[in-house]
Amino acid sequence: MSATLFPNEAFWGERLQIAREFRSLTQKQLSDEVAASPALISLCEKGKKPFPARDLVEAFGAVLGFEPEFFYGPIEDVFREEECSMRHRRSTAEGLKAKVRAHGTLIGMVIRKLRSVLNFPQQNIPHIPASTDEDIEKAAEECRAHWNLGLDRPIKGIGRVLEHAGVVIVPNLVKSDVDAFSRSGPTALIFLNQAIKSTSRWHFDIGHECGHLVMHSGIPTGTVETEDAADKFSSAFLMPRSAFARDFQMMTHFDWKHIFALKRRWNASAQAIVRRAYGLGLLGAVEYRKAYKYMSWKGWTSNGEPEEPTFQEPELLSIALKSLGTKIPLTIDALCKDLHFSRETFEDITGFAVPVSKSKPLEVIPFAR
Amino acid sequence: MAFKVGFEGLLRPIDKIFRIAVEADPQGETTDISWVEVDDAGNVTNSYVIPPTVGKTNVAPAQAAPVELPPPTVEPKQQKAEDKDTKKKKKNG
Repeated sequence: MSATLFPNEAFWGERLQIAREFRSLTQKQLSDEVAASPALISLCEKGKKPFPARDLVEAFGAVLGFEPEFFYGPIEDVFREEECSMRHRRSTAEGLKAKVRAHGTLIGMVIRKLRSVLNFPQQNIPHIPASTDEDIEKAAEECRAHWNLGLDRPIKGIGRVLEHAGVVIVPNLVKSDVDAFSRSGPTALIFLNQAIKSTSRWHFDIGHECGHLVMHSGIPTGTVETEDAADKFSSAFLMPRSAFARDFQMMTHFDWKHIFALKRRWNASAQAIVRRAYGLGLLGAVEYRKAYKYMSWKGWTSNGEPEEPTFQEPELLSIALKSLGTKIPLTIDALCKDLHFSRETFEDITGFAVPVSKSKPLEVIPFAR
Repeated sequence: MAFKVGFEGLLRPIDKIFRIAVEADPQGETTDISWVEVDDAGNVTNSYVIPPTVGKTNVAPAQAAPVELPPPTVEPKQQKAEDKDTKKKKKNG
């Protein structure tokens, strides 16, 4: 057995656990990969083995895609279960949820480092607990007022609204089993699943996660009640009741042309519009059911709807990463080294490609004999 | 009621006479309203029936423009400190 890597610094088990969960490995699978016993992995993760052998730590790094130094020192901001809201199917495995949280923690490390050299928009999320329908309507209206959005204007890019409030939106990195994920805390974050090709759905998902950040800070989510509340918040935030009702009531009888005109105006799906109209009592139960049956028959509920709105891709993280090496001397390569991520791991975490160094290798001219 | 339309300066003058004709039944209830266009000689050149009841207004309420925010900005932290330094240097210099 070789000596420990850093004799004066303790191995941090939580870092091993996060790296392992990010790679979707069980303790048993990792132990097989590094030729150790599962019990040893467990001891390391629990912090009961503060000075593991150097070769073991190097093996962890090689298998999980981190430099050995990564496993040392405390993590400043771990994404805890109670801080995270996950919009997922009920069958979603615990392992997948742990992976998403681990991914959040790792991307949080990147953001924290970026914040040390760049001025991000200040985090500015109002916290308005709400549970009844009326409270949720008011919470959405207060939230709009807090961000100066008014109560009668559609929102062209809801992502930008959140990014201006200091929330980092990370696109396309979660698996299809999890529709969206958000975390309130020192680093507010939304993971957006873009596997389902529906831009109106993405708008709604961001609104849903916004609802969790605003209403459910410090409250465990994932229950039917909290998910339903977040859906209602999204609906009320995207389509404020009085302005939406005025637009909807321009239709004298149910007309899909008008529903799609509303869709173009409010950047919400026809499903969300019909549901909102029913929720506000603008549409009777029979018309609502008929409309849903029609949408289902047309395949809009399963395969997506026509006339999808344009979608503003999340920009905050991308702008920050693009400024590395251009606006500030710190390069992405240096950032990877600083965080002790391999290039591949950095790309897996951020979805952002690490540019290959353009410098040519030095030409070596041999001495003449 | 008859008048000659002529907007001097702003719009092209139209050499037409318009009349609004209101027809009523023996009880005095309005049955038809027509917008009638006549020439100088009093010949009807066009007429438009104005429906007495309008099912749907064609006046749409003014709609507020959507909220469209600019991209978020991320500025280097050192840059500000450097700017202050250069300003100080300029002042001192």
